[in-house]
Amino acid sequence: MAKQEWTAEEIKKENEQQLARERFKAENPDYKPAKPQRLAKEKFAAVTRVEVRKNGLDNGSVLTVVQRAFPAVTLFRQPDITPDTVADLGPEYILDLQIGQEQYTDLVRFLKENKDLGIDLLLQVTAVDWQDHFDILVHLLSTRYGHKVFLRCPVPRERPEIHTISDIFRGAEWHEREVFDLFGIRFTDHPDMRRIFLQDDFPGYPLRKDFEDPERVVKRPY
Amino acid sequence: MGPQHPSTHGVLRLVLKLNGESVLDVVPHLGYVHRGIEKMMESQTYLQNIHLTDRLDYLSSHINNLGYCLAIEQALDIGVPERGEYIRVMVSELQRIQSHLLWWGVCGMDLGAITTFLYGWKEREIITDIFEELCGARLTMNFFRPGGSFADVPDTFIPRIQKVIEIMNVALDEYNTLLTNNIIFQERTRDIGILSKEKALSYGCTGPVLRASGVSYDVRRNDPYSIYDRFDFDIPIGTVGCSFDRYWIRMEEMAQSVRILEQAVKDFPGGPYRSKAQAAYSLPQGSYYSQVETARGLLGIYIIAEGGAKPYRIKFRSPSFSNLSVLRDIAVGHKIADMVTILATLDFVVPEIDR
Repeated sequence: MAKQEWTAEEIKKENEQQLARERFKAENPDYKPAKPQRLAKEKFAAVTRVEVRKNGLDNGSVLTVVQRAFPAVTLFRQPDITPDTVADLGPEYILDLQIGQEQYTDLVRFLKENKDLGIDLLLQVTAVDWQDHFDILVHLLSTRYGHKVFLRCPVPRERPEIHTISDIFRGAEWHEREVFDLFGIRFTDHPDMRRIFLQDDFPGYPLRKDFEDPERVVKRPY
Repeated sequence: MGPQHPSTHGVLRLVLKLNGESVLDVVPHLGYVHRGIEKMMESQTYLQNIHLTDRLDYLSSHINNLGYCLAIEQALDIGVPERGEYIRVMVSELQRIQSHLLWWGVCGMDLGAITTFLYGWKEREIITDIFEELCGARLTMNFFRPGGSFADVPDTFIPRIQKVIEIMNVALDEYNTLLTNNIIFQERTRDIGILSKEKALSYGCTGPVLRASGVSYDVRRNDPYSIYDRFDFDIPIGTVGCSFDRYWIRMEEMAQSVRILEQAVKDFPGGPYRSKAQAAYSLPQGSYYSQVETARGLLGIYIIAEGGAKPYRIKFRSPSFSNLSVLRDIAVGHKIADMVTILATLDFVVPEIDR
């Protein structure tokens, strides 16, 4: 009913506009609309990027300290890199350590408590869905020196569970709740394992790549 | 308390456990403005995503744009010409002053001094007008692009900034006489919600909240981006970590931003404002991280790219998220009115927390 009324209203409006156009043409027979002018496109040269000076310890010395205590630590997607060759990855490369689940909390605790590294601030805990498994990402920063260390720990898709680090960095509590909310990865020994953004009965975990919700998600027509 | 409480600065709900007026426990409920920005970005191209960064912290939208563009520039090795870098720094500092002015007005209003809101708004309006002339928007700017910005600054830009510098130098003194030196205000903020250095670091607080607790960390100084390493400015730090320290850090920061603007205006160069533009950007496989200092603290942008025109995953490390997480620790034991003080001086923006 409402739809029909609206359609009728639209038709009426169109007719009125058509009449107005005809009336305008009859009153001004010599009128010609101005042609739109296209502005000349500005041209810019490519500029070489100036790398900004980075503060803090260099990657080689951090990796040396970490690998001395944890020989199992490798670099993500860079299996052949040693502390001597890590400088080849460029000054802007941030260490991306990879560690198994058994040593995950030990490594985080080691990074925090090692005085030489000076790491004291947790930037974030997050995750990424690689279709066959998840990676938990922990980003750490040294406010004293200014360098950053990232580490990741694979979590199997069949049993998405990992120990919490909220007893080491208290800020991790909310970050882990967010990961649980959006990825469905459960953190054991977490003091308050609830969803943080979505309501408790929300179906599924939206940041997973296989998340589908035909009732709510509207696909773009283009 | 909330989600429509005026002092929660957005739709935040706090469940309080009270004994009379004393707060025994506080549980924040988030997610009222969760729009799934990170998920949305996975299905859009890199250029289409810039405007979504405005919607995180709408009071620092220029700086959010800048952080996102820095990550793309890092991935594709895009340079920015000298003039473009100066525009970036000047616009970022204007944005910081503008955000702090709004905070200052609202902070006073939360404590019952409605006059400050009008004063703060008056000066903020001048800066917002500059932004309107610059990019057509007053809140969600979408101004910066990888390699510079989408347009050059208008001719009136520099004279207008000079006017802002002139006005702010007078206004900051006025603010101090109006609110900072007010005995009632001081009584209500001093030693309220003390956040120790260790606790601030453990919770991952950044920005004025961390600096008020005595840690001198500012991304502009400790991990400089753009051309911040060329300017001379101080990083104010607090000693106690109470609400008044957090308040005073922000007032000082406005003065420092004015100092940066003064230097930038003096040697603002000519030449091209941006480098060669591309119709579409496609990042090679890898992960890219950039961080900027917004008005609220450290904003980190982490992009995981698997090639192609769309990101595989984007994560924003928002400063307000970590800054708010200390609330339970520092508010318990205070009165409700003091908790409003703490909320006001933590200065969070809820859309940035919920994303």
